[in-house]
Amino acid sequence: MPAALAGFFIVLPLIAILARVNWSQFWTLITSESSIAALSLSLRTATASTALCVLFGVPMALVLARGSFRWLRIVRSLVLLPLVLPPVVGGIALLYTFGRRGLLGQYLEVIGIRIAFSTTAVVLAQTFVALPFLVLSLEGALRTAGQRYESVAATLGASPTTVLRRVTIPLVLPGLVSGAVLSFARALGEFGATLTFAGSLQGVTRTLPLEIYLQRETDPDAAVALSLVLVVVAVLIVILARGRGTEGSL
Amino acid sequence: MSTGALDINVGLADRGIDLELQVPAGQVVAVLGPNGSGKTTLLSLIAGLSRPDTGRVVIDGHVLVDTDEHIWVPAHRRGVVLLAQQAMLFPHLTATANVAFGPRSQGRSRAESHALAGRWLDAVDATEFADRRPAQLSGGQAQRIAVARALAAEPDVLLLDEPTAALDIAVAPALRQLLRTVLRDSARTAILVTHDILDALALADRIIVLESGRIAEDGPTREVLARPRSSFAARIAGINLIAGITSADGLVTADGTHFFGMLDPLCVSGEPAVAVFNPHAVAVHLAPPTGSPRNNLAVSVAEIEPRGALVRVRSAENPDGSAGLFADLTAAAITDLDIVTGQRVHFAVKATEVTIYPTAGDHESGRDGDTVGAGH
Repeated sequence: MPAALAGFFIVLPLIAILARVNWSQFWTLITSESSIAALSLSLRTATASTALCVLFGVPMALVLARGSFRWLRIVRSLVLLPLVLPPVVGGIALLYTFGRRGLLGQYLEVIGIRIAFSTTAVVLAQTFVALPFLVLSLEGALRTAGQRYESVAATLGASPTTVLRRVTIPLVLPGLVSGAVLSFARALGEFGATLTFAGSLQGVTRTLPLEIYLQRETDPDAAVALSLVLVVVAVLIVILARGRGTEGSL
Repeated sequence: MSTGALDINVGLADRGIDLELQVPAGQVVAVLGPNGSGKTTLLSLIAGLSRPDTGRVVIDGHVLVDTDEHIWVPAHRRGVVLLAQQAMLFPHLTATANVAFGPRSQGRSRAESHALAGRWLDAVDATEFADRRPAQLSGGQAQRIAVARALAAEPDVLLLDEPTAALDIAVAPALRQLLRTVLRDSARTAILVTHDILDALALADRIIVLESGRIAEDGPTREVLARPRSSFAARIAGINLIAGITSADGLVTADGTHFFGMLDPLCVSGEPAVAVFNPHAVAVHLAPPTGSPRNNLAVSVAEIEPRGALVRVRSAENPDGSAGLFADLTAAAITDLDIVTGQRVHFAVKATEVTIYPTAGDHESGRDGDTVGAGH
């Protein structure tokens, strides 16, 4: 009975959105200039931040799963931090790092690089919140796969890079894919950190979630239609992640 | 021709291991011992999968580990391949790609590696599985391919960690036969960890017995099995072994005695073999028996020793110096027979209780042959 209630609790709001969609105007609403700009920006930035997550997350997961040094537990907790941190706080933190007067930003400013309130900032904010999803998913896969195949490969004469390329990565590929898909989803839905760190400038930093929030004030129909688009994307992502046959750690 | 002379002197304090072992090139050494005696650790020290606290590992004069000199050659540059109980084929690669993995990793071209893999799959009689993935193979098939993969890497030293233990009884003899062929036909040094004395009998020139991380016994296979000195070897061995040459229905010993038994499928007539039978299967008679047992030996009693509920009667050594035979009797039977040391008695064994196995020893002539499949 409580399980059925939980299911109801998840499904009912989705039905509520479907019920509220203005179907006759649907296509017009989601193809308006601002909608298209937001959707395209969202897809581009989420793709870029997923790529960054893979680039930084794979070495990170390898260190966490295979490393054995004193501060490993602390490092693992730090990696998890963006997962539990309120996104707004993440955005503030990024602002005081990369902003014009930030820890790094003041030096970047000197060489003419401004990150805050740019598309780059959107990507950084999304990467910040999405990275733990990839790292956790991949670390779990690496631990499950174990090191025995790697040992076999090494005795057959494979150098560490060959082992990584031909054995480790292929073995954890399902975990890597589901981690990347989850990171993409998280990046696509990112709101708080983006708004704080990157602002809301149409075509530059106003991603789909920001557009929805903004439209809700002026044109609720457009907000609902765009919400439905994100619901569809989310459902597709869930199907994709499950379809890879991974009961990932997340 | 032979490569892989091994010289090990290692200590690993927390595992209580302190071993010194020299293996001449081309020799096959079986390592026996109770669980936790350090057998698998010995293999991983040679393979480079674990580090000794102190000591040296040298192959063909090439120093792989020297703790004093801070020398450490990583596993992938040692020329040592480990074949484990599980085949551990890479699940994402086909059988061919698995076998080609070693040559490929060692820098051979794709085409060359592929051709080599084909030849090795042929050598282990697994060509039909070339395009299959490990999930589509049975345990025995996978282990054959693991053998091909290990040998395709052309190791100087082959390490085998209970290679037949995970296979079911129907498949193990075939794999043992395969290993016998590849170890005989190549001049390769091999260290074989096993619990199965049949593996040792069929494959090894020499047996070492480990107990608590130290070598408790070291000697030629047949001698250790027939005349075990360490308590472990005595427990698992303690069997009767008679060496000879395989005949149509048993074997003929050096002094011409014919011994009847059941031939193992691997036996080849005219090849060296041993007759193996349990001391429980031996009946002791005061007069020459006239019943059905076909094997009947006149011996003199050298020793009568109680062993738990049974009494073990050992016959005197043969004139050629080979070990005497054992008969296990109940205490009541000994009392009835009233035998004493020095007495002449007859040991009778039914032919069905005797198994004839081919032996690994005495095949030096076969060791000069080229490597199977992969001609140099």
